[in-house]
Amino acid sequence: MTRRRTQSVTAILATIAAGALLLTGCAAAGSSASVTGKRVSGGTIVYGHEQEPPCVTGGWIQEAYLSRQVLDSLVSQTAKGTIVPWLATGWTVSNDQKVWTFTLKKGVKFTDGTPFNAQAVVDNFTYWLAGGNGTVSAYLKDYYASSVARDDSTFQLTLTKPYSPLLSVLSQGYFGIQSPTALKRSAAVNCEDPIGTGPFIVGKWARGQSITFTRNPDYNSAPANAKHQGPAYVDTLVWKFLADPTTRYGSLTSGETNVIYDVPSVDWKAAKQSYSVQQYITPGRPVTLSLNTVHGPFTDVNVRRALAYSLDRKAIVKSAFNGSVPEEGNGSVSRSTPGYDASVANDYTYDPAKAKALLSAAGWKASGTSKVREKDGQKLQITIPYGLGSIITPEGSTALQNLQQQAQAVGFSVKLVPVQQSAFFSGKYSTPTAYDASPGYWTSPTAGILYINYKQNLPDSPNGNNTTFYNNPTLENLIIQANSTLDTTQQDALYAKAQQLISDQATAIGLYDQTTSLAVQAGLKDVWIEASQGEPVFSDAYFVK
Amino acid sequence: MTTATIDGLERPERSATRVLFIVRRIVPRMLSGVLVLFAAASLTFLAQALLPGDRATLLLNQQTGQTIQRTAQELAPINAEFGFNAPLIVQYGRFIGGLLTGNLGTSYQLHKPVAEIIGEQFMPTLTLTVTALLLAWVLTIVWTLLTARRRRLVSTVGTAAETIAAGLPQYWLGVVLLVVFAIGLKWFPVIGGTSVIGLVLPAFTLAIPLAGFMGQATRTEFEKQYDQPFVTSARMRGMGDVQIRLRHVLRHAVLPGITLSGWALGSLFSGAVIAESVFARPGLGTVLLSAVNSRDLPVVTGIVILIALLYVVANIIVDIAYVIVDPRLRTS
Amino acid sequence: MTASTLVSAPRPTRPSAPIGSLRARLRNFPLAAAVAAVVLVFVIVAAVWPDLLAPGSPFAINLSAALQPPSPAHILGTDESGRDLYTRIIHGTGQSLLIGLGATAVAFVVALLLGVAAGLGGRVADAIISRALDVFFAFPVLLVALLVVAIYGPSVTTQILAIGIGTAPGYARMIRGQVLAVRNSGYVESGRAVGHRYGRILRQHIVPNALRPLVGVFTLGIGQSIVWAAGLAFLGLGVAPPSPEWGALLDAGRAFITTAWWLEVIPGIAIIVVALSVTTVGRYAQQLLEGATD
Repeated sequence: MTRRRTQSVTAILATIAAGALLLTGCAAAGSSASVTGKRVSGGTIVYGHEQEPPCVTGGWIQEAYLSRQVLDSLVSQTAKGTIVPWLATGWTVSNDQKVWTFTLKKGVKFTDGTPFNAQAVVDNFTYWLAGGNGTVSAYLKDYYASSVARDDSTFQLTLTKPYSPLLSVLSQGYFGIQSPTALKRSAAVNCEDPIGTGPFIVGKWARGQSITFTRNPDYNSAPANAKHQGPAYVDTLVWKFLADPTTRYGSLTSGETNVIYDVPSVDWKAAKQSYSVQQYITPGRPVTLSLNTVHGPFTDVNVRRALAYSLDRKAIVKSAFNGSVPEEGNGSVSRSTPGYDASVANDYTYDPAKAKALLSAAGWKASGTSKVREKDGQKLQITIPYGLGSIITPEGSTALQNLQQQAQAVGFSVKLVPVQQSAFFSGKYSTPTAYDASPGYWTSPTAGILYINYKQNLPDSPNGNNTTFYNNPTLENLIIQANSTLDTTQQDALYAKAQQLISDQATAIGLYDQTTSLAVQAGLKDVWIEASQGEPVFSDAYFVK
Repeated sequence: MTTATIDGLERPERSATRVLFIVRRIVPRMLSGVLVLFAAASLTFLAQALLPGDRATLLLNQQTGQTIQRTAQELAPINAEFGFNAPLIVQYGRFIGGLLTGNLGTSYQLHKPVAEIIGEQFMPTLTLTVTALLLAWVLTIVWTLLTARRRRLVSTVGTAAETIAAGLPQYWLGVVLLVVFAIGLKWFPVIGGTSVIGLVLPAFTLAIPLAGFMGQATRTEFEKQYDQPFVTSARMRGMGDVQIRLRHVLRHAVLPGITLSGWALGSLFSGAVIAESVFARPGLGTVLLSAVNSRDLPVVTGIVILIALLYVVANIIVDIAYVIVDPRLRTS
Repeated sequence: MTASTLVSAPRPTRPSAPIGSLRARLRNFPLAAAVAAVVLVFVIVAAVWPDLLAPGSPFAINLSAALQPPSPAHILGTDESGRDLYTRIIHGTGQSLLIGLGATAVAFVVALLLGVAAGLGGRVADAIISRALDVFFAFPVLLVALLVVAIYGPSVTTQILAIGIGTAPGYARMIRGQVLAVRNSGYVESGRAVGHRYGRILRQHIVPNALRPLVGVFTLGIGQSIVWAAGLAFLGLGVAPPSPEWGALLDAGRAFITTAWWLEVIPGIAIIVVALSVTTVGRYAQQLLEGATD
């Protein structure tokens, strides 16, 4: 190498080193600055969420997360399961439980200037049930009769039959009230920029990156269980979409975000030490394995029970989720659901010997060298399609693999089929001949979800949500009765009976609870998770110095 | 190729012929390019329409996060809005008709015009792809110059480095770079976004494997040309090694790389999908993935047409570059 | 002007080619190729007879021994379900190698048909096939894979099909260029002059001479196909779990890179080593073949 070249190489290296030092110095100051607790007004919260939905409002839970920031619902559910006022200050129900009358808050305006009144609520119900929100339809279509504005602040909802979970159902983000003037706009505009009465207003949506929300300075309709009434403390909320878990957690540690969603389970322990971590166990149907009761080996109840006994769910889930998520022995509802029957969770403890005995008694014999049991020339083969990446997370996939091994130890042959989103959501794997078991969950603030999952699937009134294809009129009646009584004690007793029946028949095997978690850096206070679905709430959040 | 031998007037005549030569090659290319666009669009339509599963069910299910069968009643409004029930040939006719009028259609899922969706996300992907290609070129040329035809050990190391680089899985490299340089050393932001500094790691993720690939072709050509008689004679005339490499051999050596660059664009696009996902960058990659997942035919077609267009343009540019760079087209 | 020629056309004798027998050439056997060949033997044994090298089951879980770093009990560590990483890598070799070889073979067969047809079929056929190739270039491998997997579900076969079809256009262009170069060189004319039939010329001269310079490209392609399979696994299009295919291992290990680095780094190294070995051996084989035409 010539002297000149050595000199130039050295110069280049020196520049790189200097640049590197400069960049390190400029790296965002981390979250470890000590805080004294004095509230700072204003500021921008950068929140790292996971999935980006196509719209801000809609029937998908990812959309409920977003719409919660800009829309208010009629009522709010607290962590204990009680219902408190929000846009509705009070309510009464008729003796036959078919007519609900809500008194609405006065002096509230939508951010486009339209006044909030009972007619606005009526317009929303009409819009939802005409196809504007598929999930609202799933909850209400069997119950809704009509809605009417008695006067500006009295809204009346008439049902076809009693529905006691109504208030809980109404507290969800899907039921956020939009401005009727705004609803008249095109679907495309409403999808991206819904107008509500909420603490934030939708600003710019940079697809693939983030949505920016700005503060609504006239906000005066916070729910009764909020930490303060009045407008949000921060000026802006930047909602970033960071699907990759390494990137998402890395953005928190590097200080590029103030709070993130869904702490990766591998970082759970480290996160709990450095940040304020909140976990919310979603009520509703937990992540459950629905067994096909009308086709294949699971038509026999003893084979279903055998599968339940063969799984050490505690160990499976603990290892797959690194201890961050609880296992769920109850296949009907999760432990945070009002009306949860804890006794059912212990019905099927890990007992491989019993599983083997049940299978042998049912005629499935172990054949010679192969570990897979056989009966009448058929192998005990079960197919489990699942939506990898859409419904089941990578940790969930690990849990399924662990499940596969444990089931195979007693003689099942388990085939796991991860399904692409377009195939899965086109309903391809939803018919009785397409699967033997299917994992899934459904968030719901009440045990009323049982009606959606176990209403009979009959030719003249189909129920595609009955993923076990289990048609049992007794069960259906139990659930309808529970949904029809306002007495909580009676409700719980009836729901408990329903859960016991489901567990006895082992139509669904509980795996783990669906959870939401947030990790918040030290300088940001009062971010909380609302109780009906697990949405993060930022209207009370503030920075401290 | 005619050349005038009158002193001082050589250049203009030569370049005029060259320009005509170039134009004569481009125009037919452009025409066939339009054909290619239509063929690509038609193929996409077929592929999307023939996928198993019902499109209306898919859209309705995605709106609610469910995966169930739907009744015809529930699907009727969607089928009416997008004309899914019409016979295939009618749907195809509508589709081609729309394209002919320059209308790329409206996304099924986002209800926005496809042109708008692609327009928003196009620049970040293009920036990343072009930067990666340029970076790959820089890496290739520097590495080839430094390590080709040197002492045995240096050459072997050079070749090995190229082969290893070509064998690196892109997202593996991306995740390693992210963890080491962004999360660990904090030299770069974790969330790339659209900033310039956020472009560095993703560009390297795509450039390094490509440089390995191009480097091998370039090195082979470089070494072949280095052994040619004209190099020996240049050296005998007293030209230094660096001069020889830069002025004479390099021009020949980059030719296979230029040809590869046209193909590299498509490969880089696939890589961009991965890089955008790892580094949280916006771009067409995420749009494409989400569109394919929802069988959003207008968006998928829009992107395919865009890629086909880029190919046609890139190949034309490559042809021009070839004519400019190839020393054999000059008089010797 | 053969602007689309990537590799060199057949060229006359190199002045520095070793004279003499195969034995003389073997004595000059480069060390790199020798090491690569040894590695390849190991890889092929792992692919064909994994139980010889790793007697355990790659699926056996051990939930209490999850995420253990490399140790005497588990020389490459364990994964999140307690499965031994070494066993999984060895047992995954067969699938990954099959995808690599299969996809490249499919690509080359398709490319050969198209490239020969374009190179020899006259201007019209050439024009049509070249335009068709342009159309196929508009479909990135990714898109093809998304479509194929959506129809047929994820498996080794779909990976082979998807990657093979997606990468075929590139090879087709190369083969076409080579065929054109051979056609324009002296082989065809001299063959005809001697009175050989076209079929014989095709078999004896055109195809071998067109393909010989591409041996290196083929072996490079094997490595690239394995890398592609890894990329597809990242996007959820890979082989179904709990398969120990390397792409699947790489994808699963991604979440653990900061806490259990061996799960992401070691499968990546395995892929790189195999790609490197195959390419090195391929390059040496190419040199041998080209030397043999002297």
